[in-house]
Order: sequence, then structure tokens, then C-alpha cells
Amino acid sequence: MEPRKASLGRSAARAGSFLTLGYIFLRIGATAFGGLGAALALVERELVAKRQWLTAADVTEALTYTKLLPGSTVVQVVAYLGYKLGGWSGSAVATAAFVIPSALMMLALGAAYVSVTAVPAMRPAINGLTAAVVGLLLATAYRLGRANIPDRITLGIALASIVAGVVLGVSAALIVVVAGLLGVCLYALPFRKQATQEDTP
Amino acid sequence: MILDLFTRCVLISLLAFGGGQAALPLIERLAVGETGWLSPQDFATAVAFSYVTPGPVLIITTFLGYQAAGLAGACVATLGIFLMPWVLAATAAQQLQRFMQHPWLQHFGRAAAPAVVGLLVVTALHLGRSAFSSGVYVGIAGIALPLAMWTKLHPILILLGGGVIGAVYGLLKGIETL
Repeated sequence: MEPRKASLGRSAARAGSFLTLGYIFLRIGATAFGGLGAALALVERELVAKRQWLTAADVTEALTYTKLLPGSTVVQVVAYLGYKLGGWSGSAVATAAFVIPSALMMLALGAAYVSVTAVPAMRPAINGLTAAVVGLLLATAYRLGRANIPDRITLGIALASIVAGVVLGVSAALIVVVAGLLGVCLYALPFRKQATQEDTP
Repeated sequence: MILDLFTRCVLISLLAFGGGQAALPLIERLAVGETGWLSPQDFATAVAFSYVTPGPVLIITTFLGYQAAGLAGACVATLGIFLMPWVLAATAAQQLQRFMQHPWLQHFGRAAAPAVVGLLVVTALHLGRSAFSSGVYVGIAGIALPLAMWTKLHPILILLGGGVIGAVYGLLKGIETL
């Protein structure tokens, strides 16, 4: 844990000004077509692969814990990562910068509403776009799955959550909470002594 | 009116467990059922717009606010829907840095992460259910998946490609029916 904390401190310093942070998230916000899947891909590219201000584990952590909270997950992932990079102000800058481009576009669409809906090719184009989003989301699931599903237990949890979500229609928050509590039971309780020995400094 | 819009958006955001798409039914009930700010057709188009624009699906509230009360309405609705989720997420990031060391929380995260991966698949299937009205769209998803997995192609290009193929298919189908 300690070296990771140190690397976070460094990355915050490297982020330098909030101006850079704002500019990066303004660009991500303007190009994250397709919501969560696309935004995650862009954050991975910009902040993990290219600039290395964040690790893949940071992104997964943000996704895991913001899924528990009510509200737009993609905005909360940005808010969470923004906090990691620059505290409350970093989070505010990143979140505002991320939302502004799409809000402006939505405003323009709202103003031009009547003429846009008159275009007959709109519906199949949107269907095609949504279909591509499906592919992107599945690819993101594959990438995150490779990092987070190391054994049969976790694979079972992932499959069970798909079944619970699709077949039984259980709410996402409930699925995440139940899976997490299951993890506490599975990993912590049977090996309690061992675990406490390992974790006490 | 403006205050009403703001409080309703804040309330919806606090009930949106499971992300933005989980809140769409709540927004429909507010905008179409309770207030009549949007017709059902307007709402369907607004949902499509929210998918076409980059960023969060809940940006649909900007459209809703604009239709309900102009520019001020758009600003207030957008602020309302994202304010509390932002506070909650930043607070979570702050508190977790302090409590991440607790083994129970790590076990929680270790098991919750694969569940989140599963939920991404669920969201993909939900979207697919609404979009796969023809084999062409299934094909688009089938091409997009390996492109996103194994090439360095930018996500926007993949999405644009999907939109263009859909539009072309729509035009061809339109010509056929004529």
C-alpha cells in the first residue's frame, strides 16, 4: 500500500496545474461517444497508458466503488479519479470539464430539435451506433475481466452477476453489495487467523 | 418551476442505483408522466440523443431542462443530476484512501470487481436488446468487439463506423420499400 500512496502523491504533483487536468478531461468528455465503455477506454489510453498518472488498478477501483453509489457511473468514475489526482478541486475540475462538452452538444440538439428529427436516417444510424457500443462494452468487460478474474471463485461471481442482472433483473447496486459481502465471507472468515497475522504490521 | 426542476433532478440522481441507465425510467416518469414536459416521442428521441452525444447518458437532463424551462432550465437540471453523485464519488475516493488498508474492504473489492465486470456484460445485453432489430446490427456489434479487443483503433472510429453502417442500411431499406 505504501509505495502506491507515494506514486499517487507524485502523480498529483506531475499533474501540475489543474489547467492540464481540465484540458484532458474536456477532451475525454468531448470524445467519449458511447458513455461508460468509451470513457473508460479513453481514460485508460490518456491517463494510464500514455501519461501513467493512474494505474489500471486505480480505474478498476474507481469503477468498483462508484458502482455502489447512486448516480451516473461514468461521471463518478471521473470524479473519483479526479480526486485521486488533485483532491476536491481536482475532482471538481475534472468532473465539470468532462460534463461540459456533452451538455453543450445536448443544448445544441435541444435547440435544433425539430430539424434533426426530420432526418429519416437518424434511427438506423443510432441503432448502428448502439450496436457498436455493445461491442465496445464487451471488449471493456474482457479487458477488465482479465485483470479481475484470476480464479474460479471470481469467475463464478462474474457469471452469477450476469445471470442475476439479465434473468432475474436484480439491481446493479444490490449485485455489487452481495458479491462484495460474499468476498468478505469467502476470503476473510475461514482464514481469519492467517489473514489477521498477515495484515498486522 | 426552476426550483422544482432542480429538486426533482437531485432526487432522481440519488435513486439512480446502478448508474445512469438505471435512472432513465425515473426520468421518463418525471418528464412524460408527471409533468408532461416531453411527449413520449420526444423522450425516445432525447434518449437517442443522449447516446449519440459523448459522455454520460444522464446528459438527457440538459435536453429535458431546456425543453421545460429554456437555458436556465438546462443549467439547473444538469447541475441537479450530477451534483450529489459528484459529492458522493469524491467522498468515496477520500475515505477509501484512508480505509483501503482494511482487509475486509480489500476482500469486498476482490469479489465486487468481477461482479462489476459481469454487470458491464449485462449493460451490453440491455443495449443490444434495444438495438438488435436486424441481423445487420448484430453484425456491427460482432465487428466492433474484435476491433476494440485486438486493434488500437480509436473507439470513436468504431462508433462512427457503426453509425454510418446503420445509416446506410436504413437508406437501402428505405429505397427497397419504395
